[in-house]
Amino acid sequence: MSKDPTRFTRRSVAIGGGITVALGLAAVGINAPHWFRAKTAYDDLLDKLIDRDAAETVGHAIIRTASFDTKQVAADLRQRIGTRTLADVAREDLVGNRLIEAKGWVLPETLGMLCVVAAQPA
Amino acid sequence: MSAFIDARTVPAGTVLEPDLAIFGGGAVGIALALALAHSPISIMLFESGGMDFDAATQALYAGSQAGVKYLPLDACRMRYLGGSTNHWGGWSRPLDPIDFEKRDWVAHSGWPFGIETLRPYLPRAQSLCELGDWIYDEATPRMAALAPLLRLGEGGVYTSWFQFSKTRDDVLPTHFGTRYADDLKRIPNLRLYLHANATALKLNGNASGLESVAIATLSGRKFTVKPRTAVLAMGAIENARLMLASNVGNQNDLVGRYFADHPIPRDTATLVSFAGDIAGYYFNAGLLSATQIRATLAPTDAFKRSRKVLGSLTTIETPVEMDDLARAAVVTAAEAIGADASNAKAFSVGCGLELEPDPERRFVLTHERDALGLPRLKLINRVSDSDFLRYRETMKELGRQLLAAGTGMIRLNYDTRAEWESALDWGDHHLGTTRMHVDPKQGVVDADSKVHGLSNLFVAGSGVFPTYSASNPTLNLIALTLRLAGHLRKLPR
Repeated sequence: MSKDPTRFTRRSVAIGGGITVALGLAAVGINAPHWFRAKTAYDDLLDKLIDRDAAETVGHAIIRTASFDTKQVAADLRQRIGTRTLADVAREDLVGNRLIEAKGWVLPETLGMLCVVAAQPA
Repeated sequence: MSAFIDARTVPAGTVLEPDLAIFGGGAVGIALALALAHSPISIMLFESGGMDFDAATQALYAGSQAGVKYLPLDACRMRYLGGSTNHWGGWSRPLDPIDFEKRDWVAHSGWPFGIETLRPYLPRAQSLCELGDWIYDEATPRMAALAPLLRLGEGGVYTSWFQFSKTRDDVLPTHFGTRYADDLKRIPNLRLYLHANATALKLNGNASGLESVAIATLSGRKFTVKPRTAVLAMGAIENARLMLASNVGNQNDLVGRYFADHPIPRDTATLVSFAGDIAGYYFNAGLLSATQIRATLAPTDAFKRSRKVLGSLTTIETPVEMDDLARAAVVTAAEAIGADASNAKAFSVGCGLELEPDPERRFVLTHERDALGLPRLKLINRVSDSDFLRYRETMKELGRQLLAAGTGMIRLNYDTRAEWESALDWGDHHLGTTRMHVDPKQGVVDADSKVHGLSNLFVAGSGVFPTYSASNPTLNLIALTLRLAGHLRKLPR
């Protein structure tokens, strides 16, 4: 049976529909929900971020000035955060003066590293 | 009340012989004359300008420069009675105790005395500057009761306070010339000459003291002053120029060196307040007990010591728009620390920096001459990378404290030297060209502001400051001048 090039496959419709939804959400300023994102090997870490899109933007600003081994960063983050909340670890960074800059924005180091992972999760 | 004397009417060849001659009618010269009023000393004060701005007189200041861009030398000071108080902003704050210390992380630091030596003279200096009550950092609880302070986590930056010289009508701080003209005219032991330029210092035969000073007017009149004692009060740049041109006090090649000003790079950072608005007294001077007072952010002494930074003052300026990265950074940081940033606003940040003393930041004479025949100056200006980096450290600490308190965050706008220099402006605070040190090999004047090796020549003003603080100099240089008045009162007549 020959394919009708004008017909969408179920898969492409799903993708197209997803893009439409994403564009629509973006247009009204709502970030893509987690269930829409492709799964990554670092979701256990990235789930600590409420706004992944914002974190990605910050992460890209950090990556501009240095290169990171995402796997190693993730391993370090898992060890550093453990079972604690991100807020607790961020506060600990601030007390310990562990800071990182994202194009000049001063951030707790752990948060910055999470943003790096968010920006290059593959 | 006696009128001021127009030096252009003094017969050529006249020799004047006062007990004390003061050269320069700015804040220093005027404060000194007022302090010695009604003393048994006969005083003559010689001011280059008249009562108002005059372009030909102002042009005597012109010079050249090399290195880090500075202000034109004829635009960063004023040459008529009242001197640079004719264009000052009125910002005032006493030096901090640490400013006087020899700090192992600040080359060439250390005054011959501490704040306790200057302290007795500060109240009178405060009064002359018309700064109102002595409040400064005691303002914190009182201003916080009016509107909340910018809350910071524990750390190295705190809200500190500047007071402002009295403003009248269109925001004009005390202009010493107009403000004190009548008071000067009432001093019975003072004769004040306008349009009188000191053009040469001449030492006595064995070079142990000043013998005479040549005076010239732009109209061509020349006469001589032979004072028992003289004080150079023409500002840090012009004092050095006259000493260099006369080869006086420069036996150790120090005159003109260690020049400093306060760099004022614009828009050094972006400060975000998660709650939005910040108390108005961070942006503009507010009134407290009829005193004008404004909040700044400054490093604590403990932070200066532990992180080896210098003084600085940071001001919050105007609202700015947030770009995409700014919004992302604010959302990400606020969510991570559990803060509500839904009303966040961003503001530009300004600052004034203390420089580390540098003997190679200096004035030298050139072959070009002004209308009176005096060699013009060239400034060789330098700012070290560490001066910028030290301030950046302080700003980063402020950012840490804002996040720790959950009240905001900061973006450091400059990273490279080129970025810092592109935003650079200056405070018009001329410091350090005739620095004070007990050792003649390290200072031009001694602890009493007397030129090393000369019995009767003193230098007054912020040119004698060995280190510069981040506080504006006027209040402090007047206090130092009042201390000098105490010495002069005791001199034999």
